[in-house]
Amino acid sequence: MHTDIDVTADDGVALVSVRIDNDSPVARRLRVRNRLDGPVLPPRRAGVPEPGWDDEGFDGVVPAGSTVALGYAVALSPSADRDVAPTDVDGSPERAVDIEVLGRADESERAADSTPEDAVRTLGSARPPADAVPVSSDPSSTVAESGAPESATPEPTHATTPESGDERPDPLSQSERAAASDRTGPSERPTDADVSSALEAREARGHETDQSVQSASLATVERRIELAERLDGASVADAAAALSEADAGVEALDSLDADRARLRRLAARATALADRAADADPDADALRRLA
Amino acid sequence: MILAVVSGKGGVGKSTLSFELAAALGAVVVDADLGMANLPYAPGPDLHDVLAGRADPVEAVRSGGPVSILPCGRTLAGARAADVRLLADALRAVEAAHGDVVVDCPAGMRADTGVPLAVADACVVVASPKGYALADAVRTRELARELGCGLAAVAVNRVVDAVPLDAFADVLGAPATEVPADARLSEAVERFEPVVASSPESLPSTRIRELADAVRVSGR
Repeated sequence: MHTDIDVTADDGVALVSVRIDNDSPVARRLRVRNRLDGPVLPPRRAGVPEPGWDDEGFDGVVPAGSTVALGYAVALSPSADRDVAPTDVDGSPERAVDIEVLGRADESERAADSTPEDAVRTLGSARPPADAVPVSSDPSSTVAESGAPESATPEPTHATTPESGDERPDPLSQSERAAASDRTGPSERPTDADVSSALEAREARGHETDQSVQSASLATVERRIELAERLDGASVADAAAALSEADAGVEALDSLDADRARLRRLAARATALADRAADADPDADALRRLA
Repeated sequence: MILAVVSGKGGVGKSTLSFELAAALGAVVVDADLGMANLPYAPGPDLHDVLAGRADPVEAVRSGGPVSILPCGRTLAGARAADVRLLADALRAVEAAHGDVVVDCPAGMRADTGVPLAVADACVVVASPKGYALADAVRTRELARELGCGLAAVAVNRVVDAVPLDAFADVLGAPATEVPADARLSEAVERFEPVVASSPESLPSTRIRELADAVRVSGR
């Protein structure tokens, strides 16, 4: 049994990959336990963790003479110092994971019955997409924010829901779940459920709001950076003039470090997207002819 | 027992036959078509609420009518909020409290069909008397087999001309019953009066009782 463990940490999330070679002539059962400080975010299909994963880690079988590759994420505890944690795990990745070989795998251990989780995993979720769900119950905030895609949808839903009048308004459990995760407070670690509900809530909000938020905050960041540039190496008189003209005070400069990190992330994401856009080049003319 | 009523395509009469089978078996019918429910609705907690963890499955069952029913909500928001994985425990709870359960499944092969099949003890495949129906029925049986659910019977529904029932039975390996096209059947769900109760001597009623017998035999 040979194992190879790799850990990369970035922005409060550690990505752990484990490679296990079984060079023996029999299948072996093993247990992989996470030892990093945070909840395990297992690989998922259709929102359901892959077979063998639980809150602690992975439990499964490596076939004879074969290799199994595993990967999961850990939301590192916010209380841990983020600058220290990555170097710590990078330096000794084997301390991040505890691998225990439980001996020879028994053929009869496989459960014959399929579970609802198996069904969802293999067949895919049948939920209607978030964009198809009308948000009529709270027109003041949501419709104004999200614009076209959602305000166009209520009509077909009313046609299919003659009885909807007597049901309670249903902006669905996303908001409830979001509220629930808010209640847990910032001091607690994010659980798996929190992460998925946050993702779902973001998905529901739509990409347009994301964009507008980004462009609005870019302008704010730009003003802060301009102020910082004017103050850099300026004389007392110049600095006083700059501060009196600017609508922000010196305390605005405190967030410069955070701004720098955010902008770098945004730039990395934009570059990655541009690369993908350059690579994906379908034959538009042929597709048009097809349509 | 928990019986899933499934079909490859929609519009072949799953809801009608689920309703009639539940009446013939004295079972609760659960409208599990989360996105396109069409069994009667009644105000109060429904399957969407149950699967969102907001209602108790046993309390959501409406009994007292000719057929006990667990209705399903009609909203897309409800369908999105519903976690279909909770259906397993909900169906078992209803079975424990009320006895047999007939699940009216959605058409297709997504998780909302798969979960009832994974939970059910047996299934009835409903097919239309068309040329492609046998292939559809085979695919649906394969899905059921994959999820550990045995085929109790095949219902060829809305039959007008003679159909090769033996071919259905041979290929699928389960008794096949033809249910004739009948106006009383198509109105039964809307009126909430099962044909097996309102016209017990009619041909449709006899055929549905045959189906119910095949289901009982498979459940032994």
